[in-house]
Amino acid sequence: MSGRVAGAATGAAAAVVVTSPPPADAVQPGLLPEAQALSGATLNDAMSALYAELSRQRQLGMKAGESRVVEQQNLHEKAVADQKAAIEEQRRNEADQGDGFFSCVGRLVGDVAKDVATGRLASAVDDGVRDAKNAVDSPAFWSDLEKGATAVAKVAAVVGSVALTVATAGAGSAAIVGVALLLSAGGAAVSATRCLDGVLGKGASQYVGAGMELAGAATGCTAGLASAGGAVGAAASGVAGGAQITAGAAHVRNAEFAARVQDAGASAEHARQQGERINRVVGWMLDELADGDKTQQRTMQAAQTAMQTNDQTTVSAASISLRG
Amino acid sequence: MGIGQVHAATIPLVPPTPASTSTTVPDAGPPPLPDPLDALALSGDPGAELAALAVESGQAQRRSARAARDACEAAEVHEQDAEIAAMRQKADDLRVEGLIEGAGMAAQGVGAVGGDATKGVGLMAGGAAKVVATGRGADAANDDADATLHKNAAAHAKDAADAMHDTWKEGADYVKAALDFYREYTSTQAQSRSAALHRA
Repeated sequence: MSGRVAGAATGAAAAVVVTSPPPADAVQPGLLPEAQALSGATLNDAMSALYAELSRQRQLGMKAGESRVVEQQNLHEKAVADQKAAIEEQRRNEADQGDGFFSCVGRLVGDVAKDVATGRLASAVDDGVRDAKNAVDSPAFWSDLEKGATAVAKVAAVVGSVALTVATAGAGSAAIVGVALLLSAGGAAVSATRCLDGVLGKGASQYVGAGMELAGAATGCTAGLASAGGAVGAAASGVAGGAQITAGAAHVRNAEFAARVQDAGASAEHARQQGERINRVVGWMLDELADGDKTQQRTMQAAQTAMQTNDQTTVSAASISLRG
Repeated sequence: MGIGQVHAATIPLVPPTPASTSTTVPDAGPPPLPDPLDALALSGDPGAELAALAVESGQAQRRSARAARDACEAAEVHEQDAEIAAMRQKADDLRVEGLIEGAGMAAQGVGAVGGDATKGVGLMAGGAAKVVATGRGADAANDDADATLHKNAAAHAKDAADAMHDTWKEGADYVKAALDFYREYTSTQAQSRSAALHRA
């Protein structure tokens, strides 16, 4: 190995020596010192220069590697920070985050009422705007609002449906009123004419007539209820419609929050992937750095061995010449 | 061999020529020294030739493994980007789905408020909105499936990149083993010659 190294160095020197130099006025300072005739001393000088250059290369390589690793570490820290921020954003937009409907409304009413009671109208406006903004930005508020509005719409729809059924069950209130009139009039006639006494016995017509009049009155009341049921049904339909509109608006807002959660989840995943990849790349870089450093180390060791061999050869040659 | 390689690579031994009068090293042109590996491979020494062959093989393995690792990493990045894009697309689909469905609910409510005349129209609008929104919901589910697909592909690419890095390390070990062998070989040769010299 050392012989090969020496040979390589010799070749290098020879390559420089063989080439004819350019004219003096055209010569620029070269990268290497002027070539000299080969001798033990010059060879050792070249090897020393080579060794020093290798050492410098090794240090430069390590420094460059260190700066690359530091750069990757900074990127990794940024990725971790991005991931944390995205997870926080995700958590903030979850449906159960923030103040609920009653909490928001209660705070709004409480703050405004307190300000109005103490005569601070400007504060009442400010507090009202702030509380309203908090409510608008609170996912739990919209979630509660949608649930509540949907429930109200369902109940109102059922109430309206029952009331309308009651109203229309009178086959039109007119039919019920007609039956009531017939019963009342019939009862009065039976009482007056006593037409049923011959059939049912003496005095029976009085009782039957009074019964028919009572039934007529009761039927008349039912007709009145049916009319009221129509009004209740219409009102309930209106309430159900309003609640549905509210639930629809709240649904849009809740979908926006859900989309934000999904977006933030994507950002968090992206940052996680980046951090993981940077970690892996740093591992690869360290492997390559260690490998390169080991190679440099072995090369320097070889250069050192070559220098020692050269020194030993010189000493041996000197010994032989002394003996000779 | 290692020395020669580093020597040629780090110290540009360019002889001064009239054409090259500045200190900058030209990129083109043949190197002034023979390639150490070629020199070893053509030395006629079977040990040196074997070592040169092993080193060349190890270096080729490292080069190809590194190129494959970079390609796998690029594929992993591509798949991960596609996964994130699918997740963001799902967010958009959820947003649009909610918007359409909410608008349908509101239209149904407006119809109910308007009375019997508009109630049917509101119900029809609500039903149509529900159909369209369900389509977007299906798109969101497809986005989920896409994201999972890309995630799995990225995991495969990552595993392949790790495997290629292991191959790169094996190539490096192979080169080291070849150099160790050559060092041992030359040392043994030197010792044999020294012993022969002493015997003589």
